[in-house]
Amino acid sequence: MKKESKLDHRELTALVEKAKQLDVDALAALYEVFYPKIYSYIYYRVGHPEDAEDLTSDTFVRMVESIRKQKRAFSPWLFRIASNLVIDHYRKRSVRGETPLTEEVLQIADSAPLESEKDLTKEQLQKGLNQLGEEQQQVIVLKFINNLDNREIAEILGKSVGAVKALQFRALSSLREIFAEDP
Amino acid sequence: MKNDLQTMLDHCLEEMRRGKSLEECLQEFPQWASQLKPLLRIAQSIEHLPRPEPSSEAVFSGLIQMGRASALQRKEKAPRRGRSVLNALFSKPAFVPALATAIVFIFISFGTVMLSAGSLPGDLLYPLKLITERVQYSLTANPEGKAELRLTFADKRLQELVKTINKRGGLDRALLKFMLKEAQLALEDNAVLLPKPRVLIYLTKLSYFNDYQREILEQIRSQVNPSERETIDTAIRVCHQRRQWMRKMTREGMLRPCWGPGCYWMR
Repeated sequence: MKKESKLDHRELTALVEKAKQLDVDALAALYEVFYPKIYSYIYYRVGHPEDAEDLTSDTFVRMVESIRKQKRAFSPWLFRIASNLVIDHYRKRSVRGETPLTEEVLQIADSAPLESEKDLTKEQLQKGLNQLGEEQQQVIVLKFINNLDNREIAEILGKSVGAVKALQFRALSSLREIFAEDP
Repeated sequence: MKNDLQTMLDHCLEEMRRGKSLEECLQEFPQWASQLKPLLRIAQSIEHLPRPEPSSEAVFSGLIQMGRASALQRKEKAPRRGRSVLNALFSKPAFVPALATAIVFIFISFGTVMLSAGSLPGDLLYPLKLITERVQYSLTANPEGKAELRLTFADKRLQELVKTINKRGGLDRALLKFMLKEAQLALEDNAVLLPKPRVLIYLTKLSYFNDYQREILEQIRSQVNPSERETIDTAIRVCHQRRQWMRKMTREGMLRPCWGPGCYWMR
């Protein structure tokens, strides 16, 4: 459960400063480090690999478009861009009256019941996440998939660290009930 | 009470992130263990889920889109001189959108990464090939997959070295160093991460590759300028030394060679 990080704080700050000058090598390095993280985050928020790929690419395009105005911590800022794109994605889908893709995932998950927490699959987690509120969903994905700390999550959600702890508790308790109901 | 539980849960999650086991964490709060345990188990199982992997086409086309966006931004800002091959690809605002579109089109039409796969150092697409490889590596979650990839990359560098000499005549010292580095990482970083039964198989593969690498270097030696032969000889010696270490490790059942700082023995 150790946090993985390829760049230390100083290296990241230096890269971001170069990226603000639109240095392509720095942008490519940020892409390399953050693409897997952003993709995982979006994948669990939208539940569809191709949509997640498109939205991840859009996140990096938005990053380039606004990086010169970027202030404070880079990672929460980038996740916030991704989060806003996910919200837009769902908004557009509901305007078009499309069936949420998450229902397709639910059907897959129904055929594969959870036997224990150890057997948890991506589909089952997706199913559980779909039954949580948006903020609880975000906390679960950011904390346990992206390995961010409470302070970073608080910054992304615009909440206090205490509120993140409360959300985390409620989200895990809800998942426990969901998994217990559908053993 | 609820606030206390929230705090205890968060404390345990942080401790587990630092390396403590679930049971060790629960020992700190025995009276709340029954309530904390299922929550911590769920958290742990989510963390252990394999990470989703995007297609390499998506990684590549995303990179192209980002490069295109940066070119447009640069156009709005001010023209700048490129410093690298990537800069050369994306830094000339006037042709970049067309070029990027063309590249995306070519890649979509002919199987994306294939085009850059044949590129050599100094080629326009070579840095993209390296970035794609690195992203592919970081997206591969299991140690065996990572180890296999590292071997593949080392082999690619060897093929590139041979092609570069055949095509351009001279020895690319940076590429030679890069090739040796990939093989070194395959041994030092990847072998130690493998489950024990797989290590010997992997070391055997690596050993064959090492011999092959040395054989190729010996062939190359006669093709390069006399002034470059010393560099090739050094590389051959590195291969030989690595072979000796691997043989010793395999024979003595020690899975980690101790030939650099921070190394340790593992039986």
